[in-house]
Amino acid sequence: MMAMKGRPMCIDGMGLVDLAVSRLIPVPSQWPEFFSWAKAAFALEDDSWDPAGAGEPWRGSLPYGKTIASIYLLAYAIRDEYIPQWHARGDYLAAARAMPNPYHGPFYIRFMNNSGGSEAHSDTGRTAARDRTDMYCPVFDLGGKSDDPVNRASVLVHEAWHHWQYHKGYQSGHLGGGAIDPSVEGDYYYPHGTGDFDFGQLWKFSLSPLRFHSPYQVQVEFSADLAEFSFHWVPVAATQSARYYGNTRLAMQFHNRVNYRIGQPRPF
Amino acid sequence: MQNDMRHETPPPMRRIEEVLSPTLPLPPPRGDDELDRFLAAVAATGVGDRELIRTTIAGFDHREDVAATCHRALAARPCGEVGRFMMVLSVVGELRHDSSLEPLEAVTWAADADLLGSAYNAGARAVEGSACEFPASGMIQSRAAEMFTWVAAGRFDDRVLKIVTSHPSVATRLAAADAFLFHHQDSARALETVLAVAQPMDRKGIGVPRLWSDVDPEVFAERLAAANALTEAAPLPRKVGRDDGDEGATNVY
Repeated sequence: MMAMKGRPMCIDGMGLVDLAVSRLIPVPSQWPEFFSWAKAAFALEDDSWDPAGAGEPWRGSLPYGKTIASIYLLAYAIRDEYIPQWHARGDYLAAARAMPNPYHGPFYIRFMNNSGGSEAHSDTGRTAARDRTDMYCPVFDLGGKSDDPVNRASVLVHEAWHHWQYHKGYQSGHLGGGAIDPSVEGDYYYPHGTGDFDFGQLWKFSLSPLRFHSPYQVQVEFSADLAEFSFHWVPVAATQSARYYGNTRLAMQFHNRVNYRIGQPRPF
Repeated sequence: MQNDMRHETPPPMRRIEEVLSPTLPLPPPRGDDELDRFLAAVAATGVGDRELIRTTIAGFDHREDVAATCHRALAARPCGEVGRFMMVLSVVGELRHDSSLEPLEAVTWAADADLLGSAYNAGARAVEGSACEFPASGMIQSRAAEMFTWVAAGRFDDRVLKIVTSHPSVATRLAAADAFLFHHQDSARALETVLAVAQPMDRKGIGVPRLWSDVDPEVFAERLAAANALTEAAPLPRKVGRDDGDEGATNVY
């Protein structure tokens, strides 16, 4: 990958989970409608993606292709079991999309060829400019702990939820303290039962009774649903990743303890 | 609000269905190259075909040799590609060979910096506002603790409980506690045992219901509601502006 002057580059390459997902996706010549939809729906049109594989969207070893693999999971993987699934596949997908909808206004997604200090970051309320989400190297770096198509998809949901917070007029920063591990920031978890948000209603909220979502919360609920309520064809590697990432965040990134764990502690 | 309906719905799902090598079943892996081929096949297996993974591994002969091949992979520091390393842990768990107990324990207690090398802190720094971070600590060790407990199959409780008590990562402590309960049929006595040795700050996270694919929805809902009722409520989210921000607000549930 071409480096931006003076900045460290992302580390290209495809890990085992990306490989398992990418091999399912037909190439653009076989399925042009998906690739054009993904590019438009997630506003991957910024020229920052050009040196990151935008011209070779089938290459799952480059950030653009890796993002496509994550969008594929968002768009198709969860089977919609209804209760006890937290939310519908279409809810997560609508939230994550960059196009304006009941969740948020329009934004676009940039690729940032540097570590950024985090996995991704959202800018909201920009003056005379479109809001945006920046994706940093950690979610693409081969060998890194965040380089995983499921985690990347959950990060897209997380960052989109910052746009939801802005759209609804709520504070969008994170916090520390409580049960949040000192090495990271986190959120409150606003407990709700499965079924409290009907499918198609994730964008709504209520203050009395308190039915609300923080970014890490909706991210973990997506991970839980992908881990346990995926279609039969979703690779085992992807559902296992969803469980690992979800449970790690549940343990370390919420101020209040969360009253469930994802999955059973079995090998397969 | 202006909604862009053109991109509302993705095109109908498609996937490559022809068989792409490697796929299960495969013979037992004898060396590093064969291990990678085997891991790729396991990783790509659809979640609906998990039984194929179990039966393939159950049918292996020379299981100690297969375990030894996996143990060499688990000894790598840094661990290399995380997804591959996690899959080795799952395969070792499924093999369920006693020779794996020590290697799994070694991974469980390995330092984050040793396992992750230069990736240790990437993506997890206290940064500004609307960012997403992932903690460096505990994910790999949690899976190792689960697989140790699986291979131990109800034995070596003292070593599992030591993880619950003393591991530096809360994620790993909670994973070990959950695995301990799972292997003791979530009994009241097991819960009492694990709570007695758990760190006070961890106790609320132990014995919580598992959301899994075949859970009884009513049982999960009841246990979740009961636990939530005992949990301190989160404060109201902070409103910061935007006059139209109440769109979506409803009290109807």
